[in-house]
Amino acid sequence: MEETGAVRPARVLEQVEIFSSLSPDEIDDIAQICAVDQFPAGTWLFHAGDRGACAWIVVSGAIEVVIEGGTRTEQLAVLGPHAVLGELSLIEPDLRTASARALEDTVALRLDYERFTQLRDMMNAASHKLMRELSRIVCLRIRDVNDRIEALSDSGVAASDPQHSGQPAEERRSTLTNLLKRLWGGSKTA
Amino acid sequence: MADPRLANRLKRMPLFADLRPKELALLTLVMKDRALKPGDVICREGDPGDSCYFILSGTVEVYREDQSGGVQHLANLGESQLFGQVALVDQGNRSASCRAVTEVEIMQLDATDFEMLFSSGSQFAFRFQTVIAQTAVQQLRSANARLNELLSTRNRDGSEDDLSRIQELLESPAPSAA
Repeated sequence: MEETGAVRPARVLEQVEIFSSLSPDEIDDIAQICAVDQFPAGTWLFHAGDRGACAWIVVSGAIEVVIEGGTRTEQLAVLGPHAVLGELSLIEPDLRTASARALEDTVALRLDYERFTQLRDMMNAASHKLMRELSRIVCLRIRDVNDRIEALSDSGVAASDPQHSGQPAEERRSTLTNLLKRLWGGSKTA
Repeated sequence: MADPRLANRLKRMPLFADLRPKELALLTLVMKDRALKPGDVICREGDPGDSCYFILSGTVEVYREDQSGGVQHLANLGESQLFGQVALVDQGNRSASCRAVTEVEIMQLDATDFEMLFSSGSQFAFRFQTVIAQTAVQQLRSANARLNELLSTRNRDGSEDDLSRIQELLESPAPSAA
């Protein structure tokens, strides 16, 4: 098992929900491909628009997920120990949709898409179970977004009606922010 | 008996292009070929998810009905696309309804066979699982895009600022993919 300093990746992973169906041996398989990252307070992990090809599991400290606005920054989530960030990029790398930075000195396990894919290619059982869990998470989010679409469509008059050309800006802001918070909140583990 | 013509048609779908002849033969054995006419409903929101479907030809609409019978369009799916797998993966009820827009030919894979393919730990299960996960991520992205489109059309009063920034972010990939 790869270890850096006092961090024992397997001991962290076994407390994280998305790994809860893995046996101790399977946890070790994932632990072996984890790297340990240290982020001093204030350090950016990534910005919206960056290509994302790894996930992090917070070991200690806290990471905030934010939308960087022109005039202000909107906080979407604060991720503490055992929270997972960016896990869907393990299925398919994609552009980051929000930004993340360390709120305090933070240690996190990094799981790279490349290394995870190698495990998958070797037909590793741990990777199989994790893919199943990730698929389940994605499906739950599809439901969530579809619920939002339906709620928006039902919540008022047709968009083409000039008298009701949309929600008030404040309301729309809170709709969007809540959506993003729910999506990001989904990355957190219990 | 596996139908070799069906195997050939499956092989032309990007989803199954990498599969070996034996794997394709297995699929044709467990999947049912169904022909549909325009307007035929394939599955209904709220029903238990007992099958998923692969489109061989034609167009399928994903939609929801509100209480007054109005239809909320969610997406159109075409040849080679997969649908109905959400309820099989998370074992919930159907999150939307699907109907044929044109003449449609689909392959139906039932829940028990899906579970067998998805969880067996075989080489095929690995490939199948990757396909399912990637398809789901892409569906999440298009659902996000659709949501963003709705939010945009609903806001034509020009109030912008950092809110448009949030919209931009919603527009491209899945918020959860970061």
